[in-house]
Amino acid sequence: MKKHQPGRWGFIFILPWLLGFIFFTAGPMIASLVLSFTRYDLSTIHFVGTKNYERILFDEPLFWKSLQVTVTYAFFSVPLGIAGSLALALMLNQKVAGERIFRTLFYLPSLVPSVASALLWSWIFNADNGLLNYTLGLFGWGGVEWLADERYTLGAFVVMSLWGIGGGRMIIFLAGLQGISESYYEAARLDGASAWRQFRNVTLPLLSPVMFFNLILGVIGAFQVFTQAYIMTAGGPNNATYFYALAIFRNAFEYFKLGKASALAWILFLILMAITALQFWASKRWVHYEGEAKS
Amino acid sequence: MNKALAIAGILIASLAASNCTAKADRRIQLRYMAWGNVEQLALEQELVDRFNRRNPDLNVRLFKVPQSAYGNKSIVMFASRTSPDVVRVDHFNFPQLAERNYFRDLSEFTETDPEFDAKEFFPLAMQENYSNGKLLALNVLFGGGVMIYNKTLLKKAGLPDPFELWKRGEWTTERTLEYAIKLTKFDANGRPSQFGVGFPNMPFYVGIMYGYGANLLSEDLSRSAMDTPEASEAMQWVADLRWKHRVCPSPSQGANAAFGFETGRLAMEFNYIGVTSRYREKIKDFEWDICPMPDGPKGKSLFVKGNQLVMYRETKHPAAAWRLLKFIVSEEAERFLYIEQRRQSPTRIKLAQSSDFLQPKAPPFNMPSVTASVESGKVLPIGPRWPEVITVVGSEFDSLFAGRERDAKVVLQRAHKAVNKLLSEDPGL
Repeated sequence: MKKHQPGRWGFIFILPWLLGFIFFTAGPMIASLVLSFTRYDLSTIHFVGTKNYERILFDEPLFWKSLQVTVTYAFFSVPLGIAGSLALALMLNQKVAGERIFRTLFYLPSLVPSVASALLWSWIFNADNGLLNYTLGLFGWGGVEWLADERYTLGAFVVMSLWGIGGGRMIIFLAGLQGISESYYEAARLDGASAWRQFRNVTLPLLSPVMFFNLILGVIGAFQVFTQAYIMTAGGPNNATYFYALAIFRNAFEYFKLGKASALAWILFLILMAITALQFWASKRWVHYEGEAKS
Repeated sequence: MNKALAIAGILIASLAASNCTAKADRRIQLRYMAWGNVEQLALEQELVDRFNRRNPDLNVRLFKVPQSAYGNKSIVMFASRTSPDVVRVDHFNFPQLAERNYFRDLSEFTETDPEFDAKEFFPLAMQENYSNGKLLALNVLFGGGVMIYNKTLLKKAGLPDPFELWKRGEWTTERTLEYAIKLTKFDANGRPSQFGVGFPNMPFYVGIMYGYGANLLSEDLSRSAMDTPEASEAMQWVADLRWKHRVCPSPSQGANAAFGFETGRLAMEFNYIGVTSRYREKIKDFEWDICPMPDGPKGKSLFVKGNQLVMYRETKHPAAAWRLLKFIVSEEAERFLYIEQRRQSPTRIKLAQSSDFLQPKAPPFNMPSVTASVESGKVLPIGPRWPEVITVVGSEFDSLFAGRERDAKVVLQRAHKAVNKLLSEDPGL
């Protein structure tokens, strides 16, 4: 009897995922790459070479606007989100009574569907009766038209993004924190390190791979913001929340320019690839892996 | 083991039974897709049930899709050739979809069916159904915008009834502003407690433009028409309601329906008649009614808009689908939808002019306000590139409506240039 090779079984086990990847991810990706060189409106299709890309890059002010909106949003929301998640994880990592209840409570907001949370935030940001302006009013500030004044709308979206700091990112940080051996802290304490010093020289370096992971996912996630902008502001006022994903959606499903939308998607893919490559390159300077020898 | 076998047996038996039932059903199966709130979908279901009862050889199933997903769902279904046989399409999307050849030309039926006579319908209702000279739809939920007003508040303020003024030709934009100023109130802290009028959003501001002798686009929809002094004056009137006279809620004041008409804190609003079914149910503590949109300095502000009932081009049962289409615009269906349920205006002239429609027993009572639009309103400038046009116009108008730019002329010049640039470009790129 012929003996099965272990590799074959491995292949069989990953086959469901592999088929899913080929048919639902790689296939559509290749199709969209082909479509990006066509004029396709769901009924007719014509090859147009690189015209979609030329149009987007050289004759489409809204492309640059959407990129500017998305980059600005990512620039503020990702670091703030990571800092917030880390702070929460540090607090929830303390050995206190009811720690599991606290962890659950802080995780709960991330379970609220994005449509529901968008509606909730539209109330919070209401200029007249909203909680935010009411609170600011107690200190003599307020009166800001958060979602109607283009100077503040993107800021409101950044604030709203912090709603998710207790979600998956915090859990990953928490897992990372719990993976740091107590012996490092003991050694540091024996050397007389303060709490800050322990955090700065033990926690942060050992947590840097987790932080790096969260950073990459955070940037990718920030470039894909869609639901809130679609529901709360529809890209307005005056395109102040015209996020890149909204631009893709509108071109594809409102204007039927599927070729152009595919080109937009591929430009986004290339931008994200470049940013991720840059992050990997920069990570050599600040990400430390346990047990790695430092030259 | 025995239990598992028993369950498997039951499952197989059920499948076999359902298969037999399906085989026994020799009726032609049709799908009809529509959207709407719970009440509207209940009415659609009632129509489908009535049709099925009268047509035992057919079986229509209502395919309900939530409003938020309807546009995308219908597009994907048309493109993937899985569309239901009959579909209701919003007029905002109709010309765009019609360009893509998804709809069957209905002339083959309208010209040969002795039971169908296009002359029985308002010409404006038929006009919306054409694309490139082809009749591709029948009109449903047709009508124009009206003004809804709180009679109790107007009486308290000693103001004559707007509908009476309209009958004398005296209900104008000027008079509307005068009313709105008198009906706006502030509390002791200077915060608005009551607004005179709701903001005329799209397409109501297009109606105001009509009254000023202006339009968004040229007649052939090929270029912007917003560079005229009349267009600037119309939009200045609209913007000034909010930022100069402060008689209508700002975007944030109006958010989350804080000054919804039902609250009794808004004296007048621009809206469609369809909303009144909710008002009849909710409003108990004040009187209200409707009147037409106010005339502008150069004419009427009346506009019309409906939904299009289309037949999917590749339906396997065109004759059966035509019977359904014809039923939904039949006298019976229109009587049910527009006279009993009062969702919009009948598209049939006879029904719209009948005493049953014009003299209802519950508010709104001033039904000639609705008939006025369908008789002499103007269609909206909606062409195949409407979604792009209105996005460009909307983003420019945002600054006017949010009060960042107070001069309408500046905004209209920008919108004019942006729309002309858009319309001069290759539509596919």
